[in-house]
Amino acid sequence: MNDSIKTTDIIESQWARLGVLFNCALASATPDLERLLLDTARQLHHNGRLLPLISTWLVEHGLYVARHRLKRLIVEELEPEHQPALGLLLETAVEHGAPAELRRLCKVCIPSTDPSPLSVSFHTKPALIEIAQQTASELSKKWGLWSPAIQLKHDAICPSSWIRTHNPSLLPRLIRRGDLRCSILEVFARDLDNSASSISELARLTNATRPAVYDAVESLVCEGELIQHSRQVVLLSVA
Amino acid sequence: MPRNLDQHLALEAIRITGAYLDGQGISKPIRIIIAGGVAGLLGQYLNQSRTTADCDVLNNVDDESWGLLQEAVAKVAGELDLPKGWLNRESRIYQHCFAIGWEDRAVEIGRFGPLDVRIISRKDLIASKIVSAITRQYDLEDLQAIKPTEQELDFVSDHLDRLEAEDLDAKCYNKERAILNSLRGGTHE
Repeated sequence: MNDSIKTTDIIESQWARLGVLFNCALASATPDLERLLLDTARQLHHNGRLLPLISTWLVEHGLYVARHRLKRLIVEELEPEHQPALGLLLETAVEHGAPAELRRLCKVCIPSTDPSPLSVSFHTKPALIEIAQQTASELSKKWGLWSPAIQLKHDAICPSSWIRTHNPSLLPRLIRRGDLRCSILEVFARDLDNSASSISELARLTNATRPAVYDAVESLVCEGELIQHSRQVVLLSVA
Repeated sequence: MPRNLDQHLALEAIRITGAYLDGQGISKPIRIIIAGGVAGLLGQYLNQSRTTADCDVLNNVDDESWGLLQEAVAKVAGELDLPKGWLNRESRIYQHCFAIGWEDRAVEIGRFGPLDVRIISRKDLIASKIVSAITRQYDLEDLQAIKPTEQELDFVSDHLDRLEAEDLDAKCYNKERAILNSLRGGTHE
C-alpha cells in the first residue's frame, strides 16, 4: 500500500468518526478537527470524493470548526502548495451554505499561481488537462485547481445528534458556535498542557487579538471552564 | 445512526427485503437491476472503501411492484438503521445513457423471495463512469483503479459513437473519448 493510499485511509476513518459515511472503520478517538481539515487539503488531489463530501459536512456542521485555531494552523502549519486546496474546500462549502464565518479563513489561503487540474488523475495526459480546464467551475479557476462544480451529498452525512453521541467532546464547540472560546478550549486541549502562561500566549495560539482573548477567557471563567490565577490561565475542565 | 451500505450490509438489506416480501405472500417476481456504487461493490469492480449511500435501481419496475417494494424498503431502513431512500430509482433518468443491451448483460446476484437482484455489468459500469468523469473527477480515479481492458474500451467507444449519432442536438463526445483514450495502454486483458 503506498503512502498516499494509507494517508487517505486514515483521513477517511477520521471523517467517518465525524459522521461522513465512508466505508471504513471509525477512528478510535475524536480527531483534531482543525488539523484534519489541513490533512484533507493535502489529500484533496488524490481523493476526488473528499471535495463534495467534506464540503457537505461543512455545510451541515461547519459550526463545529474552531475558526481562530484553524486560521492559526493555516498560517503556521499548512504548506503554501496546499493552501489553494483548503481555500477551494472552504469557499465551496460557504457558497453552498456553510457558516459565512468560514469565508474569512479563505482569505488566509493563497490561490495557486500555476493552475492545474485538482485531481492528479487528470494530470496524466494533455487532453485530460484540457478537459479539466474546460469543465472547471469559476471558483476552482479562482483557486487555480480546475474541477467541476460539485453536488452536495447530504445523504452521506450523519446528523449532528450522531456526531455528538460519538464525539461528546465536540458539544461545547457547537454550543459556542465555533467562536473564539472554542479555539481557546481546543488550544488548551491540543496544543498546551492544560495551562497557558499568559493571555499573550493564548492570543498567539488562537491568532486573535489580546483584548478579544481576554474577553473570551473572562467568559470561559464565568462558564466554569477555566480558572485564572493572576496572569496565568489554567484549564478547569473540558466537557 | 444512518449506516453506509458496504457490500455486506447491502446484501443483508436486500436479503431481508426479499424475505419481507415473501412473508407478505408476494410471489410475482420483482426484478431490480442496480447501478452505481453498490453495483461496483457487489460486483467487486470497485474498492470497498468507495462511499455509497444507496442502491440505484436502473430498470423499470411496474408501479404496483414498486409500491410493495418501497413498503419493504422502509421497514428494512428502520430495522437496519439505513437512510430512508437506501433503495431508490432516481437514476432511471440516466437510463438512456447506457449502452444498448445493458439489461441483458446484467449480472445475477441472487433471488431473495420474489426479489430477483442483478447488477449492471462491469463494462456498463465502465461506460457510465467514462461519461460521468467529465463532471465528477473521482470517476476517473475509479476507472484508473478498475483498469478497463482494451476490449471493454472498444465497447465504450462504440457506445459513444452511438450516443453521438443519435443526439438530436448534435452533442459532441470528444471529452468522453479523451477520457477513454487516456485509459488505453497499460490496461490488462
